[in-house]
Amino acid sequence: MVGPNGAGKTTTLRIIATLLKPTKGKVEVFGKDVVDQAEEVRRLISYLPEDAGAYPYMTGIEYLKFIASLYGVNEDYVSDGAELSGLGDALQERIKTYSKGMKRRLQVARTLMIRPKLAILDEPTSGIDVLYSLQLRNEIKKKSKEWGITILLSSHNMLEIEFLCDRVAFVHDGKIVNVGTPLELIRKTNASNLEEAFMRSISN
Amino acid sequence: MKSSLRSLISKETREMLRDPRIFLLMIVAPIIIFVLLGTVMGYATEKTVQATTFGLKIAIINNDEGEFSRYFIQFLRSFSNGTVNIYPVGTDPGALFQSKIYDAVLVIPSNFTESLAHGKTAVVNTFYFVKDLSISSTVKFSSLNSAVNAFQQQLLAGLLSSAYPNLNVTSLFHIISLNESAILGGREVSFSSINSLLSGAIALIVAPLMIFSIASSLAASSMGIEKEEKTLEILLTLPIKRSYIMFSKVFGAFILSLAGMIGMGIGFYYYISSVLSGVGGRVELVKTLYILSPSALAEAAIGLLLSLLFILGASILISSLASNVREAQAMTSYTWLPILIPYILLMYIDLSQLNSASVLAISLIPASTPLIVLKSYFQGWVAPVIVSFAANILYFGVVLYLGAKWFEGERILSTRVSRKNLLYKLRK
Repeated sequence: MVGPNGAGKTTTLRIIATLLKPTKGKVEVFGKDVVDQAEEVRRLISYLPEDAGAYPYMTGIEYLKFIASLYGVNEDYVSDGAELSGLGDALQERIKTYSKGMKRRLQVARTLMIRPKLAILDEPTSGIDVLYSLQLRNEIKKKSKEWGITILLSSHNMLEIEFLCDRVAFVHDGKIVNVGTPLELIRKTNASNLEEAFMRSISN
Repeated sequence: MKSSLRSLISKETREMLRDPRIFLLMIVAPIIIFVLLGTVMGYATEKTVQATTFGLKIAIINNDEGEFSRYFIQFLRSFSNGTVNIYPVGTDPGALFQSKIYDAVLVIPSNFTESLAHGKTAVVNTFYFVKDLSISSTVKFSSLNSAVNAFQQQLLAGLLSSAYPNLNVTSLFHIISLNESAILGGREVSFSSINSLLSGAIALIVAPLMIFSIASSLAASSMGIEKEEKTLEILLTLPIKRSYIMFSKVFGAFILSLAGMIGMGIGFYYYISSVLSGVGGRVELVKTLYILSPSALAEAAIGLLLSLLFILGASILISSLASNVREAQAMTSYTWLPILIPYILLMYIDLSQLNSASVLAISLIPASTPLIVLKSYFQGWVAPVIVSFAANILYFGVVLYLGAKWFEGERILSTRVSRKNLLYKLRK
């Protein structure tokens, strides 16, 4: 999902993540209603909010173990998460000592390691530098394919979207104004790149 | 217990124990404060006793020089461990104070002997030199008054002996002796134990209030940090019952509060022991507690734990309206005032003076079960205990139910009550 600030991207993601109830309409995740079957939906998803935090006095590895225990998955998943985070020995340190980039990597690892059917990532690389962003994108792409995870993400970064997404929705004022693969969207709007396609879609 | 609930409780206790703000301020600090207070108070008490033992430095200007003034001076010298110096007739008391040696200057009037011999009051002008406003000064000055009273008693004994030579004057001063004992909960117990219990009664109110205050701060921090660190949003999307989040916070804070209670108990015991040892006494905890039956003690303890659970549940619920730790702590500290005020009143109300309906109504005060149990034990009542337990179980149940519902809903993330918000709404 791509859209300007206030377009409704985060609200939509929060509805799908069962945090908010839709004021109108119906939302289903793999056939499960997010309002009536919220607990079942939560077993299928893993949500990464834009400004997600972690418990400052836990170590990185304790945090991954804590999350794994709540999903009822075994230590192998924690090892995968530890590897995915790329934090190495820093996982033994308390989270309060982590930089913003390290925290984000831990959060992405936490979100994907339990292999949800649907991972909801709200601006997964926001606020982190180019190098970490690149590494994270590569990991997201690799693991989603390897573990069969559907990723639903919102982003402002067109490079990220072109790299990660098979299907893109342009959102404006709470509505999807255009949807398709990145190439389809560029063709549909006679644009030279995705950014231009987005601008043309929302100006119409 | 479900493994997810166990994981959540473990997370709560671990995070709270590792958070230096919580660990130091809410668990270590009360112990340190009591130990420091105990040490300081013990030292101060010891010094006060020493000051009294060392006695006063008294200057006496004897304008009488008769028989009774000589007795009086002799008596003061034997009574006090301090110094008694005599100055001649007409000495200026102001000049004696200039020297800053004396605690008090007594001016014996010229008609002292004559007045006493004729059974008339003799006025001894007494000037105290106040060197500071300490307790030991007050105690010192009161010791002079005791000495004068003792002299009067001796004088009276002398007069009576000379008038009635066959009379045992000493026994006359203790002609009635009270053999005291008390009936408590249908048992006869020594009156000194009751005195000990009554003098420690303040602990009955201070201890639970301190425990509740620390516990509600713990609970508020636990909830506030979840909002402050933005971890609640993730917790709410995990495949766990959302009510477990509330339960784990209540029970996590409960476990730590118990640890805090034990620490505070040790600190409080040290404090009382230090103060009492300063005056040569000691805490007879077992003896004092023995006058309550084991069942009353067990009921009071269970009542305390039940009240604690209610306070924790209410604090979690209230602090979920805040957006950070500071706001959460401020909100809980204001909101448990409605419990604090009736609680203090309850301590001073004599329930036996009230009718049954009023007693039962008072038993409904939230978190009051430990006090109701103890007060009912003295009266041999059962109904107020049952009502208080039932009411507080109900309150705790209601708080848990409301909390579970609140955590199930979506507004827990967006609702925020702060002073700024309230002022803005009021202005609007």
